[in-house]
Amino acid sequence: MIEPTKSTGWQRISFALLHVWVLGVCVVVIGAFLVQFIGRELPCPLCLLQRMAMLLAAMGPMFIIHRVTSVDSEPGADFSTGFGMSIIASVLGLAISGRQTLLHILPGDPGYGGAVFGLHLYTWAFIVFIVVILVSGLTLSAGSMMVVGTRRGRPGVWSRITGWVLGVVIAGNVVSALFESGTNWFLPDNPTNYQLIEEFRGYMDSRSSVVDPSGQKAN
Amino acid sequence: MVAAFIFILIFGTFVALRRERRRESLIFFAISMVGVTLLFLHHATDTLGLSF
Repeated sequence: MIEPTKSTGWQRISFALLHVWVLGVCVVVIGAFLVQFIGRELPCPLCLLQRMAMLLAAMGPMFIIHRVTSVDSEPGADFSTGFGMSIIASVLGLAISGRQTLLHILPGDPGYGGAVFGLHLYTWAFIVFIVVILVSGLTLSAGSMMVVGTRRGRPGVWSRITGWVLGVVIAGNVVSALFESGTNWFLPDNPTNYQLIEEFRGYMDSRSSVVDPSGQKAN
Repeated sequence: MVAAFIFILIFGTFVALRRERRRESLIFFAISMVGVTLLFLHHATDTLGLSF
């Protein structure tokens, strides 16, 4: 086992920043949930893809947070692996959100869904991915100064809370995507209702309607 | 259903991270990335018939 190393001020800031990063991504995805449920705007396929890329980008810092207390922790290697994961996911997210931004960029196009603080959600997603890449680059550029050392014992309270919040957000997306797609393989380009609920209603309607012997259908 | 399945894969990555399984979490992460990329290609480029 690697002995715990004493953290410097910068390393503590770096460790706190990892939590802020994960929670920040969770806040953005929860904001998208609010638009979905309160604003009644169903996410399109590209919106869901951006959520996926955002959650995958949050896996990098989560990886580092959990590796620092691991018995086989390798601080330098784990640090670069985590940021590498985030950069790869963010590049993909940048491509997806960039594609959707360009899709609606022409003058006169109202865009998909409502705007939040003057920008559509896919434009916000584009900004988030750029910020993630910039922060990752800057942190990696700082070298060993920002590398979080090993810690003994269980993850701290904040690490556990951060993990739980991220887990709940991912689980919420699983349920939401299931409801939206129903039994279809893919989502339509402009979803208007929750397919699973519609299919359930259709199933219940077909069960409640009774066909009498004369062949006439009655409810 | 494909989107929900990819979210489940992301959840698998998360569970592997929580259990401090380095290799499994990286494998789940890679599979999730491939899934997101393929779904993006399906939604964004396949139907347009683009040529690069």
